[in-house]
Amino acid sequence: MTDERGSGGRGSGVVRLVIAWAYVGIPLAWGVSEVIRKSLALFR
Amino acid sequence: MLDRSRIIATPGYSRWLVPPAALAIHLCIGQAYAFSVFNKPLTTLIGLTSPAPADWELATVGWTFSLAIVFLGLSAFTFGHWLEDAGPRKAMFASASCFGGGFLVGALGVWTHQFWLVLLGYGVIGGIGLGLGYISPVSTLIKWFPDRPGMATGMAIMGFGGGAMIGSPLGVALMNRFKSPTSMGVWEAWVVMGLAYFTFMMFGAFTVRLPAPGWRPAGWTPPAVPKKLVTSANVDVNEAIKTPQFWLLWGVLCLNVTAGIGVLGQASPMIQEMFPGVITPAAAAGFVGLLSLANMAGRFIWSSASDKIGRKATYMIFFGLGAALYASVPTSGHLGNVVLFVSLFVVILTMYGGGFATIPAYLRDMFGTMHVGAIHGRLLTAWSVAGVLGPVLVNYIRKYLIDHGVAAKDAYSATMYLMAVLLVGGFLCNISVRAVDPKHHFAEPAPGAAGPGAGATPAVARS
Repeated sequence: MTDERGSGGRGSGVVRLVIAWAYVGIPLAWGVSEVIRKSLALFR
Repeated sequence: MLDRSRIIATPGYSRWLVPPAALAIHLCIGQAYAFSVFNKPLTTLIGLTSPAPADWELATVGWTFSLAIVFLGLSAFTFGHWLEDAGPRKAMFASASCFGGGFLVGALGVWTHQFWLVLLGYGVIGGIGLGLGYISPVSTLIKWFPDRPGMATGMAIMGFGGGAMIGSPLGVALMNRFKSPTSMGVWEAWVVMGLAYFTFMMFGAFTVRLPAPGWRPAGWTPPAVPKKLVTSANVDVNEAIKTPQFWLLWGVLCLNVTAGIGVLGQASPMIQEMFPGVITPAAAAGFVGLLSLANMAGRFIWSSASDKIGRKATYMIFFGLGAALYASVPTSGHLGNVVLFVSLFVVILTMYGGGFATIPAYLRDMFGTMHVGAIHGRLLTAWSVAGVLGPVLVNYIRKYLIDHGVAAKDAYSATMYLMAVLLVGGFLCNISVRAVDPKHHFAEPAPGAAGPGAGATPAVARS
């Protein structure tokens, strides 16, 4: 079996991927933005 | 529901769902590195505005984090073999239960002001959750990404670095939300965090899948001629620890982490003392934040690069370039060049994070996929040792020098040269790594042992 995604619906698969990555990406982006905001003090 | 046999992927499952599943675990357990936000509030639970005689001392509270890291190493060592049989979903579920449950038991300890309950909850139970969670997605990711194992595991381990960035502001925000004239808001924050982290981690547990036996990525075939240091065989976890390669990689990880932890622990006072009157405490805090970002980014960048240039070459860069950069730090301090100083440490910290993230793929190259999660678990004892060794070396040597009349600024120079020497030791360990002697290889061929898609651990006797 050589398959990247298989035979499932492509549209629903993309939606699942977007939701999954948003689920972890949004909190991570929030945390990173908080650190960047504090890090700016170094350059002032 | 949790069994390994129930999570074999069906056609239509995208392997790109596995990294977010792994990240859901690592982003939560990475909170451990943000535990320090609770240190001060935990010392004023009774006095509220200032420590009362019955309050816990800061040094006492500090044991909570240390115990959690010790149990991270112990549980990764102990449960790695179980994890390979149980599968990632059961391991992730157990991790979430321990990590979330640890918060709840710890909250009970804070509420009743019983410190042993805090140690048992966050330190022991939570620490076991840390170890299980840290290693749970590793072998699964390697099986799904035989073409890019470094990138895949690097992405997950990057999440551990990112977890502190979420856990720190989250902890502060929750304590502020629950703070009242009668409470510091700690136990309330821990209850919310325990429940929230458990729920968040369930996404990982119920999203992760194992590839079906024989699965491989579209368009990818295992190389006909394996690279020199990439085996197509497998080594049992109990056999792996008898090989010199395991202990050389143990030294590689330990020395890389020792050097990095030593710097991270003193980053804030170091930059202020090396540039007196130039760097304010707020700017120093910004420096620490920048190092955290470099640490996290390095985990993804270097582990991905290792797929192209090879694991051994990647660690050669870490140790060779790292030693040169550490040795250059005192010069940048003497020149008064803040930009150069910060730049040096940003690069150094990317390599510190890269060292953590590239090691699972290095282990896979040396020992195969069969027990890579369990072998990684055993190797993490190097982290536990480095976690003690790094700060002790740096702090004691610095104190010794200052006690003998060396200026604080120059004492930092000595510790930087010491870190460079440690990295030279790591360089020597890494250069000594050779392919594992075939006498250590697993005797019977494992299904899918050539790398891709070993959906189930071979049901053959292990030594």
